[in-house]
Amino acid sequence: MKQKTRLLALSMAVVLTAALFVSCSSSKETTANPSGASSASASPAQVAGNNEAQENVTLSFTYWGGSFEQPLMEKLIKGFEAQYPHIKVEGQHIPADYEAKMSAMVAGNEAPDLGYIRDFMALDFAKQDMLYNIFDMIDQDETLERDDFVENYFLYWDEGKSYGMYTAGEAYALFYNKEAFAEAGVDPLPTKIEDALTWEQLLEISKKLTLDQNGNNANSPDFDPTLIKQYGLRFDFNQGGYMPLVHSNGGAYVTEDGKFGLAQPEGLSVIERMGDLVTTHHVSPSPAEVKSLPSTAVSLTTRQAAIIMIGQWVLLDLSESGVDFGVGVLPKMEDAYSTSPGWGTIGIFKSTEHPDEAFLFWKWLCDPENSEEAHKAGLWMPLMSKWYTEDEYVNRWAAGNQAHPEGYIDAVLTPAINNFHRHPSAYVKNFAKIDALVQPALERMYLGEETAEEAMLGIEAEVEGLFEGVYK
Amino acid sequence: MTINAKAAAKAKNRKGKSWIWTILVFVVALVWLLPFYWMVRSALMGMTQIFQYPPVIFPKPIQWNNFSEALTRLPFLTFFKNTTFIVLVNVAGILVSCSLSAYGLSRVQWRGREIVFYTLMTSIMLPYFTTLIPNFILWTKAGLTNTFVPLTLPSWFGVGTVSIFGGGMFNIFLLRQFFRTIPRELDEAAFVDGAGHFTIFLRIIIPLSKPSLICVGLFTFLNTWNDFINPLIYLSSEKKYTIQLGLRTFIGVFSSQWHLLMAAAILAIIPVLIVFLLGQRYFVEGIATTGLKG
Amino acid sequence: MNNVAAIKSTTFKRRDTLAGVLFSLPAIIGFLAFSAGPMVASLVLSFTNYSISRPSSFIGFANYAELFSGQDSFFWSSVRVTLAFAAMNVPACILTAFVIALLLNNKRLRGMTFLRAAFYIPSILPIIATAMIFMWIMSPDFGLLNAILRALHLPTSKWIYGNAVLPSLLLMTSWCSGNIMVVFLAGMQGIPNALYEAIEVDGGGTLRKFLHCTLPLMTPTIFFNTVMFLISSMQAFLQAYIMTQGGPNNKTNFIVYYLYRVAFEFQDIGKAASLGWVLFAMILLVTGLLFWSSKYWVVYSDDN
Repeated sequence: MKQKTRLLALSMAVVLTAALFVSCSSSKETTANPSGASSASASPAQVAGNNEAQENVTLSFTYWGGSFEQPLMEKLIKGFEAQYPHIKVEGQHIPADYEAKMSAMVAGNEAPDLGYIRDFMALDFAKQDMLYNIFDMIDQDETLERDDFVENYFLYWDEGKSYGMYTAGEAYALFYNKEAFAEAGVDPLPTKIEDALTWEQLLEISKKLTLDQNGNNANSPDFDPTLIKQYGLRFDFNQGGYMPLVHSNGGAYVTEDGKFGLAQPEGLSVIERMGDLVTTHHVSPSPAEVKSLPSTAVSLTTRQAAIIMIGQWVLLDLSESGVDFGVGVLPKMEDAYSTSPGWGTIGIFKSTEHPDEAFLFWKWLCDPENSEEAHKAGLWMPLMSKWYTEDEYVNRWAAGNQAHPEGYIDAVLTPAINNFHRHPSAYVKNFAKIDALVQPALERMYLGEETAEEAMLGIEAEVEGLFEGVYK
Repeated sequence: MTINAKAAAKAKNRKGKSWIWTILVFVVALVWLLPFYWMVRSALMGMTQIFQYPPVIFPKPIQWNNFSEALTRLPFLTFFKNTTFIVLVNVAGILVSCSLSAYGLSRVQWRGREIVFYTLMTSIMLPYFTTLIPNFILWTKAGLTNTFVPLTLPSWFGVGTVSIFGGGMFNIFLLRQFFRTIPRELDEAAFVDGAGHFTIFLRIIIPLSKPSLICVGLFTFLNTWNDFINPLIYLSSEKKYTIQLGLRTFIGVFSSQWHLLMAAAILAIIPVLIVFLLGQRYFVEGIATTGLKG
Repeated sequence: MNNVAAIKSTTFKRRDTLAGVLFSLPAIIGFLAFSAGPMVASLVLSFTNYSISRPSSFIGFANYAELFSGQDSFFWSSVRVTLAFAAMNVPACILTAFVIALLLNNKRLRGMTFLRAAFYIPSILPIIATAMIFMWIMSPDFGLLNAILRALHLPTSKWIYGNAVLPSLLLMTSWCSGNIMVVFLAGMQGIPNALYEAIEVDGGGTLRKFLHCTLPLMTPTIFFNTVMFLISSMQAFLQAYIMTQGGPNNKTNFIVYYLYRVAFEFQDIGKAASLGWVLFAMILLVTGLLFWSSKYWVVYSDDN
């Protein structure tokens, strides 16, 4: 029976070790800060001189971002904690798979008190009554009014009900490499909306700026489209790329009578023209080329693209790289003009135990006073209106620094508050599923496998089958 | 020709062939390393140079400070400590639990053994994301999120946290296969001598399985070191983050620092490389099972 | 004598069942504690329309019906693409790894440490870094591979950005097959020298050694690697997630990638669970076939 006892002894040892492990880690866990819903620990009232007894509160806040945003956010948090010593904020930086982690947290009842959420996800949450109506909170606040904020940036899930705003203001514009322009003898891009280029003019310029390995531009008969080393114009293939232009052209993602806007003439002509840039005129890189140039800003710096049509957040990278760049206003399609924001938003979860403190932090996050650095660096645009309308505030971020060149105010700032349309992900229900049909169809067009008409009309029925209406 | 001359000729022929072979293998190895070289050169240049065309083969100037910048931008020392702890605990757990289980599932004859084995195997056939939320809820109910427990405890029970390669069933299956290459006669001889299962396990099977055990240790080390999704899901305070989470931070939503990512990635593989170099010596020495004597 | 032997054999058997279970206990407990629960939970979820935000209800087989009836426009193409990838990936990587292991199994080779490290390094690099590197070198306009092809006046390719995406991914996956190679190497090292010497004495050369000694004795290892790699290839995800986002035009819309999107972008956890279980059934089937076939070609030394 010797080996049997040995065996038993071993198994017990294994189980015991494991049990030890669990208990050790559990005690470790109680000393570490638990994640999830905030915890209030009993603590003595504030020091003499303060009549209010303020409980110590811990808020959990999730956010995304890279190695620039993350230290920035930490600074924001520290500033907030200094201002409100009884509130501690646990910032959880989630480097990737944000939706997966957020889903898991919410499913496991460990949603943060507030956090970054993608627009379509947040709208879904809000509709299911999981987020606070920010208007209620603002109205109750004595220091703030709704007008203090830029109206455009609120996201509504229902009539008059908004769960919050974007994480920061953003807008689309054209950015160009001045050196490339000078070499091709092209005039700088216009910055005022009145002077905005027409599509044909933009196409002309792009052709002059598209060069192949031998230096021939796209107008030349010797031009070799398989050996391009500099593209004239680079744009995104997602909603941010085409929607501003579609709106400019009087179109929409979903028309008033519930039809698929990209298959309607106004939307379709924009899509068609964008497709032609790639397949017919070869002035723009196709999805194939673009994927391997991960950063739009970098492609401008290395002159792989002469003009980029993108959100203004690239100013951060452009200014850091030292490239000589200029800003231009987006092209006009019809008479209208439109620009669009980003897609990241902030929401306060109803599962929080400390809505008041969460709102305090939300205010802090949304006030450009506290994150002036990010605004100056070009990453964010303000969420509060006076920073667009009052010169004193405008000049603090939009002028006089490396990230904001001449013409920025006309080209980016003004349209952001005057000619603004939200992305469809911010108001179309079921957007993610619809987009999953639209994106491959667009890819087929850009790869030359289908014409714009075939691509968009081909999915029209299916897309309209997925329509469930709009929020608000 | 005399026998000696024949042998000498053959030896000379072999020597010549061996040189050709060596050169061939080295050439293949160098070509093989090309993408890795690409990573190294990208780690030593600024972002703009990485994407230049024609491709820049040699960084000009060599930006050695990418490495220091990558390490200091984020608290990599903390990440390193956390990752090391998790990995070591995992390796120990896997080695113990998987070798025991593999023995039970291969060397011991018992009814139901194969059924149990195949049932256990099914656990790796379901994709990770399918059970992500139920798993997370489980650990939440146990109050163990944001600890290292979800990342280490399963290894002590033959269930790795890493799906498939490096996970528990992978190692159990691997050891089972290796155990089955050991001739039964050894066991039977030992039985006749009065030894029990545990003695056989400890004194015969384990010593003969050194290469495969080293494999298991190496795999677990490597895959836990490179595991990204589990720390992401279960950890929430940055003080507990691991190296892989730190690497991902260099890929931001609006802007990314590719040169720092590459620099940090190269630094991240150094510990694994060391472990591999130490372990692969055992492959060379090998185990010379010269006979079937017990 | 007979009686003694008989008694010994029955007590032996009883003890063996106990011993077998006790030894396997860690894995059994682990399975019950960490795997079985979530697996059953996800199976149940697949019969619901569970979404984190909305209230959920049982919908029976509706999810599965939606997938198989063609109502879901992505499902069947996803299955095709996943199977195609696995069918290409497994032979490519297993073969590459085996050949390299053979090359490195030569004790007389100089610089063995360097060589082994060289072939192994690719598999230890963080996948995110490897993926980016391959995306860059396979860039149609600006990448290294096409630059080399142009210099040699050979036709260029769109690699992972065009229709050749699946074979192009194989370049990356077989480059990373170092970990499989290590398993093969360990197996080869375990083959006793005495067997090789025996063939040599018989006058056999390298080929004979390989065919009659190495190959048969390596079949358990080959079997193992094939099964594991097949299971892993059918669950391919990261290539789609990091590099191609399921494109171009859904050509890399692997089942697990599609599952991920359904769960976390479309917020339909129930349907995602059903996708997972469909894949499970597929893997079970294929693995079962492989296991069944093993009795025809895998040679074990322990007469099990």
